[in-house]
Amino acid sequence: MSFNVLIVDDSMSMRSVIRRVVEMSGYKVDNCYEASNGLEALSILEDKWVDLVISDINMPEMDGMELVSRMRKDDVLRMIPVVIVTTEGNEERVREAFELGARGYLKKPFLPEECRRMFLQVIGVQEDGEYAEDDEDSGDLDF
Amino acid sequence: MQRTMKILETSIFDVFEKMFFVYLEPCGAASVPGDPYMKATIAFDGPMNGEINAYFSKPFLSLMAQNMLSVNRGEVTDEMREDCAREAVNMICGHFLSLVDPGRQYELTVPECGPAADTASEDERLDYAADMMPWAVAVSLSGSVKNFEGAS
Repeated sequence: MSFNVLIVDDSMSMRSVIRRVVEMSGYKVDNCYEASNGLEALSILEDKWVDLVISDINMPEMDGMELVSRMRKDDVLRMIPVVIVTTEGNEERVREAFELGARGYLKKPFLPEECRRMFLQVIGVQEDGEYAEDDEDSGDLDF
Repeated sequence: MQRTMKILETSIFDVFEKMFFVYLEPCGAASVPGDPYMKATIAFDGPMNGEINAYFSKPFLSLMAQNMLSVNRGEVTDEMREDCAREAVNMICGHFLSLVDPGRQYELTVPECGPAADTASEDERLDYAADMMPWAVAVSLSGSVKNFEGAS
């Protein structure tokens, strides 16, 4: 099993960190696309199939919340799990992201292992490499 | 040091250790050798408002870029340094607000970065050394959040 991943962040440094974590997750990543805002991400999603979107919130042009919202309104894109990676630790903001359709949340600063664990959790792969039982809450935070 | 500045310091340590793999040592403003190289700024607004400015030395920004991007010293560009500066101040601000006023919502601006034309004010400023650099970075805080002592 291999994956296509889209990383959305206006910081190339952060995209680079997340890309390395994804590539070192132990699972084959065929394509790791990058976008610097939500608009660029939607443009990529028009042409490419991805299995996971990892997105920042605070970005110019189109932020991560709007990106998740637009994806949920699309019959195809709504199936792609989105992990929000952001500096914002505010519960209300996180809840809003989940209500819009995000499947996971990671707060910066994070350790590489925390990012890897979230990535695997949301795509449904357990630490032992097995796929998790189908669980629609997988990867979500409990409130 | 007042409580708010201690929380800011915790945020600074967390960001630099986890994301840039550098360990900072507090030092005095007197350690600054000449003008800082680059300044990154982010503002926030919500129940309180304010601004965080970070002033970086060039060698320290180069070290941050090397560590975060996994590149060699000779491969570091100004664009990488600027991006690291912006991302650092963005993370410091978000982390700081989540610690100082948890559960409240703040709007953060997109961080800006450029040559350091001024220097941090002497008060409400934290200076750090790192990795054989007598001075590496200074972070200053201004606005109504500066004197916040309310949240536990």
